[in-house]
Amino acid sequence: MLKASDIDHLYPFPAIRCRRIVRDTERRLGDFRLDGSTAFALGTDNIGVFLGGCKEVDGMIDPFRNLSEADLPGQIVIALSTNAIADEFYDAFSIEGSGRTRPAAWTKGAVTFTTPERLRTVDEFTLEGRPVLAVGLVDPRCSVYRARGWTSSGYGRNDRPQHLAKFRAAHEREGWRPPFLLFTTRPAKSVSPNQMLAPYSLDAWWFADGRHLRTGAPPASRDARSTETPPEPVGVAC
Amino acid sequence: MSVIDRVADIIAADPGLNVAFDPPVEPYRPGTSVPLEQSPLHPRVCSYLEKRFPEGLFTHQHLAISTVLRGENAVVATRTSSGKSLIYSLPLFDALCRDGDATALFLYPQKALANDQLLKLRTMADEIEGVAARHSENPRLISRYDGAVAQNDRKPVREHAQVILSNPDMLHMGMLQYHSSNWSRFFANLRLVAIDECHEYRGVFGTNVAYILRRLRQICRMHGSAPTFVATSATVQDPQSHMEKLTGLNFTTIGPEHDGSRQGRRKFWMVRSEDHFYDAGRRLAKALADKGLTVLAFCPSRVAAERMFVRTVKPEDIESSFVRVYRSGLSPEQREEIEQGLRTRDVRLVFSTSALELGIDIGEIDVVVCIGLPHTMMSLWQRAGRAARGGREGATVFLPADTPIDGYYSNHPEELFGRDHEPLVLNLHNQRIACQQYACAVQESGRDDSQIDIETLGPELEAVQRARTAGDLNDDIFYCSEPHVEVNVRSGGERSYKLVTGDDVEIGEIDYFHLLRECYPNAIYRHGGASYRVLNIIRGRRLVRLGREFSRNDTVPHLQRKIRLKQQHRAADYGDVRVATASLDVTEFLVSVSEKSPSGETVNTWPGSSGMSAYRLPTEGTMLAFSQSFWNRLSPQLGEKPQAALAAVERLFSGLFPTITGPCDTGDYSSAVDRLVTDENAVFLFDAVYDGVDLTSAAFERMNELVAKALERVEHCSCPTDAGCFRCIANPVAEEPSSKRATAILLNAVQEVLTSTTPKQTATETDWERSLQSEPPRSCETCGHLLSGSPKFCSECGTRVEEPAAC
Repeated sequence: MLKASDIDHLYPFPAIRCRRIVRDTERRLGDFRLDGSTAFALGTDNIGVFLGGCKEVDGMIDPFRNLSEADLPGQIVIALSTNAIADEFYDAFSIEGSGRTRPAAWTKGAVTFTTPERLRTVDEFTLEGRPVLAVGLVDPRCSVYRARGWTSSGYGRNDRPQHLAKFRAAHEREGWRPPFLLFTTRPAKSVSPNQMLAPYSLDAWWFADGRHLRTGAPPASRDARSTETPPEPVGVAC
Repeated sequence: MSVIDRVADIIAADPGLNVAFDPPVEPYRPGTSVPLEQSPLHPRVCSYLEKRFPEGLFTHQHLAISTVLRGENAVVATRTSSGKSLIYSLPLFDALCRDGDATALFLYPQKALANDQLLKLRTMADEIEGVAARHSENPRLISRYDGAVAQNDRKPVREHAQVILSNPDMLHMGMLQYHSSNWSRFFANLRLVAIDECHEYRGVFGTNVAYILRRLRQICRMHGSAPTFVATSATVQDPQSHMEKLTGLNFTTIGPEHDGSRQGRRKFWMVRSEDHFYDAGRRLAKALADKGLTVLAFCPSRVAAERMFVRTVKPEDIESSFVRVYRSGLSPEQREEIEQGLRTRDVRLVFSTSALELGIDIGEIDVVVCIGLPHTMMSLWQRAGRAARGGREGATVFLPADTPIDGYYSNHPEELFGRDHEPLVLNLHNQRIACQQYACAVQESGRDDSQIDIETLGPELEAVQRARTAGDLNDDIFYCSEPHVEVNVRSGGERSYKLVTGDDVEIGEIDYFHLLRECYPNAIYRHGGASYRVLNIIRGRRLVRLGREFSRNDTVPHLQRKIRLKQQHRAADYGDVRVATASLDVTEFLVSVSEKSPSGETVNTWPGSSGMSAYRLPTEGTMLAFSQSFWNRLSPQLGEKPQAALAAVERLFSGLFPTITGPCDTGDYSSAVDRLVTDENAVFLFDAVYDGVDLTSAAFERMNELVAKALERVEHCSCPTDAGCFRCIANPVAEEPSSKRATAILLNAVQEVLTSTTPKQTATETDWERSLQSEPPRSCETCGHLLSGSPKFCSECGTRVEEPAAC
């Protein structure tokens, strides 16, 4: 079995940070910080993170730009729920040298973008051999869990949540899967997250307040505050 | 010549009738009275009584009234015609004499009973000094408040009435729901609640009423009153425990041992006939009425009553005849005309269903003819009690039907007359009813769960509250703006359909259960002696359109029944045979309809369901399942059609079930044969009410006995042929003939397995049963959320939940 220490090096700093809350009351339960120990707990207990109350698509681009610029030893794979959102993201990142046609998956720094249907194209080659640190789904309307494409014969033709579950399963390492993060505008208390557990193949959710989403390398001062020794105040008169 | 002698002569003169049971005449019994000087009633009430009852009140009346005036709840269980209605009427007038604002609520199971009592109470009020003056000032002092009261009249009743005569349905829908807006004066001053014919409150109806009465008590506490309850019935087993269960209060019983009423001479006969019991009964009733006696002939069903009426009276003589038919579904005017006719003796023969069993004043009935034995002992004694009222003489003649149970009792009549009344079943644990009633109680408490008076409402609703708090119960009923509308007090099933003739005249109502049996498309439906053809059924408007029909044909529906086993609870596995209690889904649907001429020839057939949807009944029951190997081993011995033997076993089980459990209403349970998904054949006995009332589960413990009785019935029936007779295994509507030999082989084999094998017992608890246990719910250590069931993670914050420590 994998140990927490085995993946610690993949998360040198918490690249995704937010306030952790109770679903219904939205009472704060401390902070959610995607560091090694948290990722280990989420991946081994099969817990997803529901980041409700995020901004609309145009407001989500900056956090992911910050994330892409973070110096991480692995890739964070982000599935964009619709082609329209994927187009918007592709345009916003304006990758130099790429064609005008959006590819099935494209990489910008530490983040690889795709759609749920195209997750299967995200292979070793796309990832350039880097490990997957987390799998995110940008789903502003929080509807992908229902987008299972059942046919009249009862078989799923284009089962989008299943694509996500399969992708995570494909990157399983000794009982640990990359954590799953759902970015949505819907607050957790306004939907029924329990109904989403089975489609995404999860056992539980942690809930986070997407209005306080912070990504990328933490600012030096905050980073310092989170360490054991507080920094000396500079330039402050005694 | 006395009535009894005249009836004896007529029975003796009919060569087709054989007397099977002829007990001695019950002699005249003079009443025992207590002088009025000893009465604790108000002097004005006593002076009224001195004029009407100079000898004083009967001992049981005196005792009961004294108990009620002391503020104790009382239940009176004395014979029919023993003056029980006076017991709750006099304390009412006593309260009105002492307190000008006092109010009282009288509950009757039927509107007709309330109507009957209203006239009597108003007459009494006019004769009591003080009350008479107030009654003349306020004509609505004593009023009915039920579905038959016009909308325009309801507001004045709410504002001015001090005595309300109603039924539990209206109490639930029209009074408790609006207690703060319309009824606060009434509930704040409520001194007395009378519950007449309390034995009627059983099964689903009784369970609903038990909760309605608890809600009434909750509302009285809110308004600061604590009324005294008084209940009456002539035919109730263990009245004290029944009433305590029904109301949640302690009761004092005034039983038959205190009965001081005057009783007239009374005589019973049980007669048998070689003819069909319908023909013999109709002939006897007509002969008695022709001799000038007033006769009430009780028929087994509505269809039977209508058919007998049609065969007794020619269509052109219906208006002028002294014969009538009385059943549910008649309009109030039709009922009133018949009741009045009986009082004036213009009507001398009435073919009735159980609708006339209860204490409606229908004048002097000389003879009661029961065509087919009544389904319950309560019914038997209520029917017998229609004759010999007020110290007059009366006779009752019983004609057993061609069914296993009637066959059994016609051979053992002393057992029938020696039986006690049925135990009255109330199932307060019925989840659906408890949830519905909880929702109503919450709505009445200002839509706040924390405001309900759980001490008054009882432990069952406390369990619902606990489950709601833990998040285990989220049924739609809890989120309705008007939960009262969702409750069907009488049956828990669908609402009724209106019967409308071609000229848009509404002639009555029918529920879906009877609609499927009597009023399907193309059916010939008889109503008050007239025949109608069902033209169409408009489900959305709950309307049945009828057209006049002049043929004498009859239509017969062919229904099929499918059983789905939802969950097995207790099981005893004998290897070859399995006995189990289970939750079932019973579905009945129409397969075809055939029309037959009076000679029995089929003149028309309509295949298919005729657009009628299936009737689904979720319920509880007991099953006897046969393993595949057992059935394969036995089938060759059962002849060409082994399924017929299975059907015969079902018929015997259904017929003889009351003999092992004590008498019970055959309308409350039913039976079926079906194949399980595991390919096992099974015989089912199930409660014929929504969600069950714990009735047929009794067969689980006593299956051995039931099999033995069924075997005895097959082996000892005197019929000469292997096909049997209706008294043993023959079924009048079965397509395949049954075989006594095959049935006996099957029953013998089952008996051998049941007696020679030790069963493997298993029990599965339902989710609801678990929620009724008082174990406190656990909560999440991180966020404090109450956890339901045994989750691995908290659903609110995702924290892993520690397993509870093992004992």
